Amino acid sequence: MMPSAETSSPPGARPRALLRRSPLALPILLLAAALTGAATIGAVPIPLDALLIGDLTDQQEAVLAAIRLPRVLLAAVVGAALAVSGAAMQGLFRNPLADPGLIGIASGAALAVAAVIVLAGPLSGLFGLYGLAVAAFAGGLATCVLIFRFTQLTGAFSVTYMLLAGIAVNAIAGAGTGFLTYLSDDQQLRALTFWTMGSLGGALWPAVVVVATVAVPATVMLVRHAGEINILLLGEDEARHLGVDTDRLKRVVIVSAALSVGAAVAVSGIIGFVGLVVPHLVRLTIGPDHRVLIPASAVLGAALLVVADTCARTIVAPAEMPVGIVTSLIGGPFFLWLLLKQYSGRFGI
Amino acid sequence: MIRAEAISRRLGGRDIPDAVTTAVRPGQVTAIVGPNGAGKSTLLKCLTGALRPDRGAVTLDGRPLDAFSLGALARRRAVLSQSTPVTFPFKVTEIVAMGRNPHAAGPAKRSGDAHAADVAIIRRALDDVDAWHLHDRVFPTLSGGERQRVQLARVLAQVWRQDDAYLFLDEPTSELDLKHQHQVLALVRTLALDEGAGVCLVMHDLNLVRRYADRAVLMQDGRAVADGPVAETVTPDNVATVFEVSPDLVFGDRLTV
Repeated sequence: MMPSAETSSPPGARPRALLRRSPLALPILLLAAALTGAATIGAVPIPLDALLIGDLTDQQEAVLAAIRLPRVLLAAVVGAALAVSGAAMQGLFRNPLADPGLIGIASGAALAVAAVIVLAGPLSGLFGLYGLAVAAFAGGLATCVLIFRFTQLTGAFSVTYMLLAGIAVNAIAGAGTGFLTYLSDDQQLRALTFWTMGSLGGALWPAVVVVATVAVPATVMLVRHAGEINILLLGEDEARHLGVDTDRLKRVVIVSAALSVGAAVAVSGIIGFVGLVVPHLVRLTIGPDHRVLIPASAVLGAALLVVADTCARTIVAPAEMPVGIVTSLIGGPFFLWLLLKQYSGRFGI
Repeated sequence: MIRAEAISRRLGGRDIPDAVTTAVRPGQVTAIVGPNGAGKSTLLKCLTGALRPDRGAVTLDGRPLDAFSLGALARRRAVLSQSTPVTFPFKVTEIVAMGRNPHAAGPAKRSGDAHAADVAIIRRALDDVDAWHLHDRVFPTLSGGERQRVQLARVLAQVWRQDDAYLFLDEPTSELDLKHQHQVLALVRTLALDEGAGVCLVMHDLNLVRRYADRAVLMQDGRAVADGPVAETVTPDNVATVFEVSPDLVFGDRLTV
């Protein structure tokens, strides 16, 4: 934490003081509760007391190990990856409304997946799953490199150019995806639609491992640069005057965020609004310091997506709703509320 | 000394600045003055290294600015830009603490942790600009003048008690009330005279320039048309030709229309 320089907390500010001293305590508690709750709920109920003392039937154990745990943990790592890259992008763009979807990473990944589904013919089994994952990953990263190169070509690495390039890339990728959708047959259309709505169905341990091995190092990298991201918020020139190598910092932030989003999109499709809502909640409750914001977003993002996914697979059971619908239902109104608040000048814009 | 040797920069088909040679000297307050669009801020940006001149060179103690690392430069010279919008709800003390970033050593550099000594510097810097009472406030909720003083405190904290320090301030008083205008300018003048800092200001108010600056650089269409002690540069003749106003507006004491 920054020095708060002998501030005397007024009476009644105790919860806030506690939040300030151990800002990660509450998010971690929430995540623990979400994980435990999500593990017990499902087609095969696993009672909490049985789970805690390890007194499970063979069937319950099998379900827990092969289905429930990978599913819940995948939701957690994907949620963390999306929230962290959202926090990083908002810092980079110095705009609390920025989102990884903004610079086209998600739509680039979607285009690559659409191409594989429609053009590569019927893919089946494991090859299909990994084919889509690799395509999404490559599409996201390629988009990122493209935007990065473009902004370098325009001379100064300007955030404005990057935003505008992101809008253009989003439009192009959207057109490509639309054209492929037009070409697709009924079965492909179904696969495409399901993927773009985002789902954690079909979660397997390898998917958990893939996302974690990408998202964890990326998060560590971002936390290490969190102090510099704070300073970048003063403006690029100001940050350079304060000794921050802004070009290097921006590269680190972009690559880390792109890797996280790419990995998440690869295994779960497009799950919107987690990257926008979670960092906002953290800023409102804990504060804007990225040294706390990034880890807190990771934990809270994990908790949020675990809860959303549990809703998605239980509300219409035995069928299952794409989790992207749940997050958009929460995130859409939240985004509108943010816009209204911003319009009334709460964010000083 | 920070010197600019015949620096030019192409901007929209014109050279701004256009072959300007000038210097910011330790222990003196140098004001860059001139009409809108004359190239004052661009010259200031070249002197700080934020912009690279296409021709000519800027040197610090005889070495090109490029030869210094960003960190080494940041420990010796601080810059207050015209406007620094911060849309995230940082506290005032957090903003000022960022000024100490160049001095954080080792692993703490990345995390930006300020030392206990920094806490004292932050307090005194805020005191100096009459803004300590704002220290617990959220920065984006402050008024324009309050924000300007807090940003100035950040800049002061950056080169606090630093030998051979340089301060570049782009219109530091543009949003301040009369009392704070004089307070801030008296403060930077003290820094120059007592601590030997080299201060460079972009200013519009020639009365303030005459009162607080030692030297002035008069800019017109990208060129430095006068450069020297204030008494020799901010003259009635120069005011009339460069600013195209009656010198009475600066030198007279009666309202003239």
